[in-house]
Amino acid sequence: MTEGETVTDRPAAPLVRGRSLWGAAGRRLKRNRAAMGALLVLGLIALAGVIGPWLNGHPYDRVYPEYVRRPPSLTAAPQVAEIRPAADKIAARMRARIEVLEVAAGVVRVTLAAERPIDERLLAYWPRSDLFGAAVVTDRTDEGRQLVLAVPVKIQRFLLGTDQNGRDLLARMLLGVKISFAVGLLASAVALLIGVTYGATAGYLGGRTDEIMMRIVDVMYALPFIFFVIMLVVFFGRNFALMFIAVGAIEWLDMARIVRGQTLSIRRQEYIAAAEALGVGTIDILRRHVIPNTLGTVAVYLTLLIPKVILLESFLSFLGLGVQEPMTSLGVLIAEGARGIQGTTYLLAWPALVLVAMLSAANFIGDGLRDALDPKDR
Amino acid sequence: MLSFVLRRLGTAIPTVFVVVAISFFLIRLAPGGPFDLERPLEAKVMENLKRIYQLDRPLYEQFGLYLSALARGDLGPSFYFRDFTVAELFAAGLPISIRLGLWALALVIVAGGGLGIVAALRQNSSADYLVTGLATIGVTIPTFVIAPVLQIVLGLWLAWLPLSGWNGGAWRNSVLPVTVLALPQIAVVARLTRAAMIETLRANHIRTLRAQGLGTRAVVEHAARAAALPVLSYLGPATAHLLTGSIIVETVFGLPGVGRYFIEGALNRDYTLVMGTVVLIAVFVIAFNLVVDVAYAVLDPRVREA
Repeated sequence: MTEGETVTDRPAAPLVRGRSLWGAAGRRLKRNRAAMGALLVLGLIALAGVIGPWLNGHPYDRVYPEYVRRPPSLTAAPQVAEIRPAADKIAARMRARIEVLEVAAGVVRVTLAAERPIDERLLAYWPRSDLFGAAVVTDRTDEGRQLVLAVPVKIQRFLLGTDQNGRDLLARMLLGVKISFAVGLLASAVALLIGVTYGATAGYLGGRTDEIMMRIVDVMYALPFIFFVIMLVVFFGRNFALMFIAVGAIEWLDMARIVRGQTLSIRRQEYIAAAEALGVGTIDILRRHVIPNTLGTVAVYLTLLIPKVILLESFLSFLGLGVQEPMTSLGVLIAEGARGIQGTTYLLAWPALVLVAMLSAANFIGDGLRDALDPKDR
Repeated sequence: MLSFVLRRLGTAIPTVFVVVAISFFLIRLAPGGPFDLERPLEAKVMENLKRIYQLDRPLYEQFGLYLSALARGDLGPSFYFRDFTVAELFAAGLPISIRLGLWALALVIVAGGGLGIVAALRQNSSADYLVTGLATIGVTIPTFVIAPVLQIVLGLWLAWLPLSGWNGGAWRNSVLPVTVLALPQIAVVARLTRAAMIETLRANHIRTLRAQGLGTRAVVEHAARAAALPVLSYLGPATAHLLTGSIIVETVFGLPGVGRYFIEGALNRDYTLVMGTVVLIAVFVIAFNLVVDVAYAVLDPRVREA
């Protein structure tokens, strides 16, 4: 107790806040306008992936048969000109014809007429259409041969248009963004885990073990890696979750090499010798001293790995080996868009734009982070 | 020099062996076989087919047979493209892929190297920012986006170039594929060249040249020689991949090269075709890494003496 008092009674040494590596890097990164802009873009895209589906309102797998290949537009569907033909079609199915049709304030007033009394059960055809809600009979005349209906118009917006099956492109793109992010982050996490452990172990143990471990990496480099991915996709039966584990299990090679190189230089530092002299075990030295000191380089490499993985997933999906219907990804959307380039350019343009924006943004952030952590190149 | 080359080749043989072994067993372990059709074949027919292609033997025996055939340079018959051997398929497709790849390589060296040097000479100028910015975007735009976009703009809207097809190798048909092949590599090479040039331009021997009053031309010539080293080590494997064809480019432009055989072979369980492609790519990668090593030794005396 007395000891404690003497310690606190001492005049406190003036608190000097040291400039940590990460603090300094953070400040340098904030000054990098390209990287901060890229961070903003990537953040917005990620945010759109999370809350966008909820704001957009269209489920990604909902098919609107009456709105196939609708070009992007800010105006609401249906247009007035589209209502009459759609109503005519429904009337024909009800064995009736339209005598009067007026559109007012989102409600269509239709007067149907037929030779025989109209079966009112057939009114179910109206809400089945993508354009109308449930029809209400306001007046019956001529013993049911003439019906006056009030049909609400379903107002919908397809901001980026619909695809060749009549699904909302924006909803599909938002799902694609979400999947791309999920694949990018999870596969990179797998690569990070394997690569850092493997590289740090090889570099720290050194000698024969290091030689054998890095020789294995060299051999794996020589394998055409796309072959590996295809084989894994075949094995896992195109299972989404396992696919990105497979991708991560392949992308760890670079990470292992980088971490090994770093570890080799860290191993010669005095603090490692001190830890060894104090009798700290190998695993603890790796965990507490070696790996934390490799993190700067690893962070840079990781931000560059994420877009690489996203690209790989899109590439596989483009070839039809990735995500399967009704799920989608930006690669699938680009492949579909590229197939129908005549006329429906927007089906290619929008997903391509978003993918390129995501990838470039991630790369700008990675470059910025590298400059921030290692400013000697500037 | 000869012993250097021989030593490198000596280490290459075990690598090829391991690559062949892993690929061989991986594809054999994959479910399904080359003769699995929608409607299963009769048991007797299947048995006969398997006997003809020696698929009824134990796996290790098949591996031995494949290795001994490979040692004689025989890649075997294709299972999917009946009536063709894998070597015949390659003989037809490889010249096309190599021709496109060489044009792309030339474009990469001239455009990528040139842009990189210009950016390095005017470091932190607007030209530099333009090159690095474009290169960053160029690295990230996937070929499967560039290819259809160029098709739309140059093929459909402007109608300057044919959309796809090989057309016996007419130059108009090659422009788009070569451009698409080269663009991402141009971006990478421009970045690498810029970084290497900036580092070299700060070196003492370049400063000496400048102090002696030599013109930009002489300075660039000397600096480019030293800056070529890191670019070269990238170009080795990159060239191997350029020459062995690209799946995307060949699919999108409908070209009869060898790039597409890989996916087709794997999906159809065409064992020999997949193995042939793996061997082909491995041989190209090893060969070009060797070329790079030799070029390194020529350019950098320190490597020669070590």
